[in-house]
Amino acid sequence: MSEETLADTIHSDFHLNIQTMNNTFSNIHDFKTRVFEIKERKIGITYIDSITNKDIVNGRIVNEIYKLDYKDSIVDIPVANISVTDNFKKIYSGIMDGKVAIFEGNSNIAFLVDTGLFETRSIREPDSEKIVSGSHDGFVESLNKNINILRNRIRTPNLKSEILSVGGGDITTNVSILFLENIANQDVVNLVRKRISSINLENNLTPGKLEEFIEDNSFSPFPQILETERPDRVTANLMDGRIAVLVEGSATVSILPVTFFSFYQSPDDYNTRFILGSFLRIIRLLGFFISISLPSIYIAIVSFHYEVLPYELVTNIKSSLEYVPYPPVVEALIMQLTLELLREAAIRLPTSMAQTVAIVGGLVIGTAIVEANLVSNTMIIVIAITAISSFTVPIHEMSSSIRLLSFPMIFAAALLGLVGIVVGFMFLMIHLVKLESFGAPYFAPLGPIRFSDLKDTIIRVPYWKMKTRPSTAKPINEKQSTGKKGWAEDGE
Amino acid sequence: MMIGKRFFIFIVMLALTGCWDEKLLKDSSLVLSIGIDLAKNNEVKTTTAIRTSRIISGGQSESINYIVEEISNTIRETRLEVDKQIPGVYEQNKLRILLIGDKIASKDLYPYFDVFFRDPRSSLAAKVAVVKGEASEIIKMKKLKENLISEALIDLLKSAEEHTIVPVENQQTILTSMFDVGEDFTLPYMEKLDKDTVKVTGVALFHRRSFTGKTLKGNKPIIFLMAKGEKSKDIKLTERLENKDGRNVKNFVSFSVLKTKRNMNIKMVKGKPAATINLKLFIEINEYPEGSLYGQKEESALNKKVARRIEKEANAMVDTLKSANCDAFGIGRYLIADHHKEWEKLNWDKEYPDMAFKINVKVETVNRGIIQ
Amino acid sequence: MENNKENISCFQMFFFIVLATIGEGILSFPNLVFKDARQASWISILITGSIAIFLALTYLYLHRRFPRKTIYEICIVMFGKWVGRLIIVGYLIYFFLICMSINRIYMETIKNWILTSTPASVILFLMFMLGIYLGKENLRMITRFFQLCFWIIIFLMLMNLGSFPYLHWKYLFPVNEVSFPDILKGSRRSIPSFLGFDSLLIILPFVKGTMKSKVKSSMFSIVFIIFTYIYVMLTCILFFSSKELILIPQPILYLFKSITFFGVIERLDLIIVSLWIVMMMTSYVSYIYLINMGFCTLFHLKKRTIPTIIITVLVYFLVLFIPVSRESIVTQFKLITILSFIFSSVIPLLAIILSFLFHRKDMNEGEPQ
Repeated sequence: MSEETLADTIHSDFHLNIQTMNNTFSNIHDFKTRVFEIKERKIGITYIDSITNKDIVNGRIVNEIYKLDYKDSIVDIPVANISVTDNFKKIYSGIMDGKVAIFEGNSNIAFLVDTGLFETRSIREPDSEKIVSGSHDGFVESLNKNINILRNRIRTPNLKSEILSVGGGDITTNVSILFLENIANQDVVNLVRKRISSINLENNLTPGKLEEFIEDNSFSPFPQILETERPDRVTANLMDGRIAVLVEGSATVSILPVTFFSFYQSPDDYNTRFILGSFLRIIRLLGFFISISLPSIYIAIVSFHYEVLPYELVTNIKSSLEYVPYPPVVEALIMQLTLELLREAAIRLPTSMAQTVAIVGGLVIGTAIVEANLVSNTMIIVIAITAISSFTVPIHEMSSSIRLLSFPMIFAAALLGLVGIVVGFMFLMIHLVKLESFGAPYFAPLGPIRFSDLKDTIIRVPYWKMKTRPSTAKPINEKQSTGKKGWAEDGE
Repeated sequence: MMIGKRFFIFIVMLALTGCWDEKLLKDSSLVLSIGIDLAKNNEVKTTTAIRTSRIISGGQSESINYIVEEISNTIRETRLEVDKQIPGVYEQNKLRILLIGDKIASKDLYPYFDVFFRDPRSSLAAKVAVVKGEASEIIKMKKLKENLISEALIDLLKSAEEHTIVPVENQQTILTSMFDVGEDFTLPYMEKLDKDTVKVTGVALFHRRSFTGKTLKGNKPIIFLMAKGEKSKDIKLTERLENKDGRNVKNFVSFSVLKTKRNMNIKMVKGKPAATINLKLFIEINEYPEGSLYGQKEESALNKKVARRIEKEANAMVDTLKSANCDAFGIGRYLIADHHKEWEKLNWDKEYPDMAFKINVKVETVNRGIIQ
Repeated sequence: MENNKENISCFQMFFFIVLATIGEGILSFPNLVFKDARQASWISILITGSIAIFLALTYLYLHRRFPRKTIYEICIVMFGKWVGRLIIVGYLIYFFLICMSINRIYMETIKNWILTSTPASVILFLMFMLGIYLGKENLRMITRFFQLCFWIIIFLMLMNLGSFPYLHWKYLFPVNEVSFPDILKGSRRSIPSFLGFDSLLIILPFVKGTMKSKVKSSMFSIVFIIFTYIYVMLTCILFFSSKELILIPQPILYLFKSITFFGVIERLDLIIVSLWIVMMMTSYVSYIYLINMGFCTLFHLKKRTIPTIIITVLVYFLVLFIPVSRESIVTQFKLITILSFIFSSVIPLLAIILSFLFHRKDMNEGEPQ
């Protein structure tokens, strides 16, 4: 035991202990200390009023303390969760977790009773990840409640949850690592645990900050950790052997390791018929290419190679471009920036105001800008399609990354036309294949090609056909179905 | 880790130096059709139709054409001259129609096409047609039946192709034929009939790279293309029945050809080539003013009459081809491939006009409309 | 275990070989081969292809004797330290020349076809950047990217189907009129298009799998290459008349000038020449990788960033500043053909013979698994 912890041990002097507590929590208006003297025993309880459950403090602790007999131990207090400690550090953090610390006489141990009551909002479907059919609940800002929601879905002792206290100095945040022991690869779990424990941050920890600490490449525009507020998504990913990281005080759960295509999967794909699900997948991936490349392709065509279009289209576009004073790249930038401004404004404003913004934006952009000949009709169509395609990504973070990527592509196209686009795409693709998320290649199963994973990437096959789990997280138990409908053999 | 930085430097470096190949669509003057004619002293006259638009009220714009004519030594030179007189940059990479006056077509065509073949930006998809008289006369019309001239000409040629009146050719296919000793090409033949009528009247026959001055007209182009095995969507023919004369409506039958079967046999007889084409047509009667077709006998009689009539025309067409020395069926190509030794001994230009070449036609009626 | 990141599977090796080989030649080889072999050009390609298959088998045999060694290390073992090093330098120069020729072909084609007024320095700069960005990576990363690029080849082959209505089957005949020496001349001209499969000499030790699957995968990749080339060659022969094909240096592009994609997109040549940059880049990167491995063997380097930068910078400036004339291209072409003969066939064969004579093989390490 180091010297520092020695200094933190509880004294065998009751008053000194209470004094220490009062000193530490001085200037905290809701810190309460109460000292009882019952049957010649000195008992003191300390807690923070605003984060403790009054019913327990009054009914289960104070009430029971009054009933204590000479020989009764404090441990006999009828509460579910009581622990013993001899260390002030533990008491401090316990009190901050809403626990009640009980000191007794001149003994050098103290008891911590869990009475924490932190307010959480009620469960509702996250706004940013809506689906059509399926479960409509979402995570809240409480770690315990979130784990509760998950345990409701996965009822097996194999669902392991480790709590790590992450932070620096005296500021720590509880982080929970969830995985299925019989599926998840222990190497990956160890890697995640190692990276999370190594975080040293004297600031509050949120999933976003946590991810920046543990992700492989922070300079990439692509998110390498999936953030979601949907329990069904987390459950499905846990079943694939992935690991979920929950942070106290946040409704966002991080899933890792993931591939690029994880961001294009939605619970909707599995809740609809598989043909439709596959179709939606393809539409979304098409959306990826459109939102990255459509403005740049348009620019390349109208300023370099309009000969690739049939003459009818060329003459149409030409007549719409004729009186626009700027080159197409400037048009595109004007429109993209306007769109981003509108989008940002609409998010920040209350819903009722956002509609006003949409109307004003629509009117200004849609008609006035064209009539003023600042931007051509075709460019508006192009930018609108681009924006709509970028919104098809089920995960919001990826959608923003993609919109951001369209800017360098626009510049590349404006400089070198089609060659610029191809070179830009090559840089993008090289970057994607170079990325790894916790040892898993980010662009699998396309680069490297993994045939067994393709069944749930670009299309989705019927679920009973998916014999193996995706290999991204290198699951130790790969088999997930027999590949047949169980009843089909019975010769019904 | 350094991707972001590198990419940034890369972008800045490129952006500082500018966009070299940029050719903005809004600044270019689109050339959609060109007419080429022979001017005095072997100079070339090009007539260019350039597409642009003008604003009519309320932000709407309307497409218009303007015509520029220029005479110079080469096609490329006229292009430079035209560029000096027009607003915007002369761009012929969307060229759709290339009309050639019959005088200039009679000369070696390649020198006038070289500029198109050599330019990486030209699309080579332009349709080429030979015009009786001056090509400029047609381009200068500016509008044809209320349509802008370029569009009108494209539609005219397209519908002619669909009706199998003219062969489907563009600059690229012509280039292939120009260099092919075993096959001669043919082009659509157009005539300006009066102030506002242009008509595709037939097929212009070429020998090697120059127009022979001979054309196929009437039903012959259709029969020619059928015999060549090029059938498009729709073939409609009206034939005079053989045994009747006079301009009586009852002397004619109209039919469309639903399907053709054709094979070509080339034999070497004593070192000389002899070709036969067997052509079988499956037809649908569209109009038969004579009336009844209810018996097997009447039908086969009609089949025979039509076949004989077509056969006669087909062999007349072959004679025209031979007299023009236009090996449009690619018989030379067959000889090169199958009888190479004999081919090398032949003087094909001399041999072809005298070779034995026959077309046999059979007709079968498969459909007679909704009455018997 | 230090080469753990380097390992690829047999399946992935297929992509590496195909993408390393198909690239610089595919646009121009129909023209070059046709000049000599005429209608029999496809036979020439078949002959070159069979030689490639034979050589690949000898490489595999050599690999069986030295399962953990690249050709560089084999050279040091077989020819001694100093001669071996000299040979390695020879290999490096040979690969470097190919890098230069790839860059030159790339630059000229882009300049002729699509970016006519962009300065050469900028066009080359793109390749330079891509070369550094991917070239410094390990074999596994490079192969991952190649797997993505593979679909471009399939796409281009499908696009080729668009030319089918315009093909003249009679152009293929008479095959028997072409003399055998002409066919051989044609196949000599197709050699540079086949270069790239010789990367087997270096990558084989990094391929995981049994000998049998290695043989299968390398054979399959070469057969795929032969098939692609013959397919391209045939479309060119059948589309163009013979005098025309001799006039056109990049027949594949010329072919697409007037073909439209369902009437929606015209001028497919522009799209194809842009996509072809990808294939050029993969060939370039695979050679950078080969040179890197040589550097690492010579100087016992661990990191590849420095050799990659040296190579790409040298290639960039040499290609940019050495003036080009028709003769210099022909000389370079001949030089590469001769060097390829020495380094792709003579030295590996010599190594096999020597290892037989001296009974040298990797005794302490058996079949790698």
